Amino acid sequence: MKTNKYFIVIILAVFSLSLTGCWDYKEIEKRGYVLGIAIDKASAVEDKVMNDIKLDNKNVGKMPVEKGKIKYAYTIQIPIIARAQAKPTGQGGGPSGQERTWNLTFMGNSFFEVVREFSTRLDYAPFFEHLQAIVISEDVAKMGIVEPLDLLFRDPEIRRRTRVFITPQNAFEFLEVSPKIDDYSAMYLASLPLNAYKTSRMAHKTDLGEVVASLHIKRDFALPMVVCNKEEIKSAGAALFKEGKMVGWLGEIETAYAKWITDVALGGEVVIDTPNRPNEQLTLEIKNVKTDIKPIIKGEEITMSIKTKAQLNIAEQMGEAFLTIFNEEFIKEAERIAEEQITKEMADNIDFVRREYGVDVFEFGTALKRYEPDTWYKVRDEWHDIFPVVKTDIKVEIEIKQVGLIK
Amino acid sequence: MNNKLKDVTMLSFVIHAMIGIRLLSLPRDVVKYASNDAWISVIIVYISASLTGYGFYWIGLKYPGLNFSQINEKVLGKLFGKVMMIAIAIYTISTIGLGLRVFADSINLFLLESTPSILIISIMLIACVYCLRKDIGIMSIILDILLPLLIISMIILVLLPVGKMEPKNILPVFYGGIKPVIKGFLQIVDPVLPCGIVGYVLPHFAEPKKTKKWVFIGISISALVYFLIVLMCIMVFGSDEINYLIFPTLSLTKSIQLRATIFERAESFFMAAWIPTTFTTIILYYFASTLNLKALLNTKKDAMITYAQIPLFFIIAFMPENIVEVFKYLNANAVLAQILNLIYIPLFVLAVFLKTRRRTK
Repeated sequence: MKTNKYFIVIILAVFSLSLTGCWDYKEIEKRGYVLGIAIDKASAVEDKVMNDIKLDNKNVGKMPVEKGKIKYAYTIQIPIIARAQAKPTGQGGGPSGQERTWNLTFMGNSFFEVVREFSTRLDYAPFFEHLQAIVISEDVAKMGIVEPLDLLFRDPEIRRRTRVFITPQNAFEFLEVSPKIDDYSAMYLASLPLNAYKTSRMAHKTDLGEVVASLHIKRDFALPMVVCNKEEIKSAGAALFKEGKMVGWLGEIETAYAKWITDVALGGEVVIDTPNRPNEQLTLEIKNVKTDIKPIIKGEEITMSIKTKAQLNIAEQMGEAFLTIFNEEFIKEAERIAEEQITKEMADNIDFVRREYGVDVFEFGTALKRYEPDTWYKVRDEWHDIFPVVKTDIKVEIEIKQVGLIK
Repeated sequence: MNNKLKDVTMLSFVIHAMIGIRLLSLPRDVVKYASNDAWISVIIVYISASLTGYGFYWIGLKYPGLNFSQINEKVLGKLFGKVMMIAIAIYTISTIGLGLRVFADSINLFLLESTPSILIISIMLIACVYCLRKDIGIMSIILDILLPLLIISMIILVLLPVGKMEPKNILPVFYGGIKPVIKGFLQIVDPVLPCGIVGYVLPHFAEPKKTKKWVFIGISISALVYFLIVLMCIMVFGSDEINYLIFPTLSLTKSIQLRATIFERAESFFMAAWIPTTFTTIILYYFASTLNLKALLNTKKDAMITYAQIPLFFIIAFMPENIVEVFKYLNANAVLAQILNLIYIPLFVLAVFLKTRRRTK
């Protein structure tokens, strides 16, 4: 019995040592929660870095790189939780006018090198599990996004649902935005795509997981375009990518119809001419859109059959026709006009993107692979040459369901 | 051996043995060959698992009171029986060693960054040894307690990413014919073999005959979990992307994000459920391995055999230098499992069949 007691004591001692988890113990308030990352070209942010500290005419505020040229400027956003306006305890807002985030910039080449260099200025070690948004400037995107993003694909701390945005401005400006209601601009930015059910003009399929999947299988893709001023961010339109490099922008309305074609439209509006009154506008609200793309192969010729079915409601009629809306013929005519217009917009959109950029953002290649794999494996290597001459056959079916509360 | 288990306990034995460390990388292994049709491979695995499970059960009934290794010696004679037992020993010990390594690696990668692997492995082994030194009744209770945790976490894992899935990703179905599907099936034969635990625990049941139902239910549930996870991975990532993921199942948990800001780190929850799952798998392998070695060495010294294996586990766990090598060794281990499962077990069942028929004549 005696030995047994000692054994238990030893077991307890060993196990209690392991329970503390002392190796990976970190205070929750000592973590630097990185909410946003902005990636710019190094030349765009020259004066953002601590330039004022000089030693023997050498700028020690800058970061020396071990290998390669300085190409990128990485900015991270760390929240200053004590200054948050929306306090969980409801004590009321903190002092306004003060900066609520701490943004740090370093210029370098390897992102990982830069992340570690942040620890030279930040006593809260950067922690990426709660990263909300990544903003990339147009210049960087045109150079290719694989290089600066590889760390984010590889690092286990980063979630595949982190959102990625492209901006024609400098990316770090987004982290300096001081939002009116939200506390941190990165969270503000990350929650904008949640409004995709209200409008189709913003590209909302934006997460890192989809970017990396597209890059791996060499599929073209689109990312949302964002712009900002000091207090606001706007997300509308899209940046088009071919082989990991940005090739151009897509406007707001084009983005909306591109979303119709790729079957990701969640909501929004269509403005058409009122039946019999071409000078008055009739606005329709999108309730549901469903698009199927199926390739039809005839000999050497590939035709993409695009079938769209949509349910719309009448939302607004600006003009004198409002008295005649509650009428079967009016609805039928409106459906016909909408079908005509949407078909035309979609066809124009496909032509425009193919002519201007040659980017298969409509995922015709994916449709080919899914339904006609034999043909796909034959044409896969020269798909970017074949894609611009693929024929399309667009059929749109519109149903108008509701007219609202008044006749 | 006075412990006579209830027949329903067989359910948790089978499920815990079949669902384990392999779940993390399995979708990649099968998708690599079968691409979109990986889910068909899993269905074939289910059929194969049922046959293997039934084989073990049937053999166990023919020789009541003996475990699989002892039956081996009885049927094949001393020499061949010992050779096969050595093969089984290599398989079980290397599986435990590599399993511990994968476990420690993924814990290091996702949860505890700076905790040394040797500590993670040691604690796991201490817990296993402690559990094994108690009798099988206590082991079965632990398995029963952990079973709901395992099932619920798997259900959550399969249901939460539903919003992110793209059902069209499984198209084209059956492109390339049966060959890739079979190749994919061969890659994932090794999670089938653990249902051989039936052959080792059967002698401990009060009424071995009644466990048949639970063996099949257990295999069905495990196969369903594998099926749904492979299907979910294909639908969420697409088969091409899975090839690039080292731990697709972990990536699946990391891709869960709900609109609300709850569950921002769903993978921590999955990890918490997954650690006991690994623990139970290793325990069952350890249990089978100990019985096998006891039969091999003709000894009854339970404690000695149990402790003597520990250094072997450590050697195997630290043999691979990096993650690429870990997967190289795992592949070699899978080949051994394929041979055991697809060649040896059917032949052995045949041998038992012939022998018992001769005996009845």
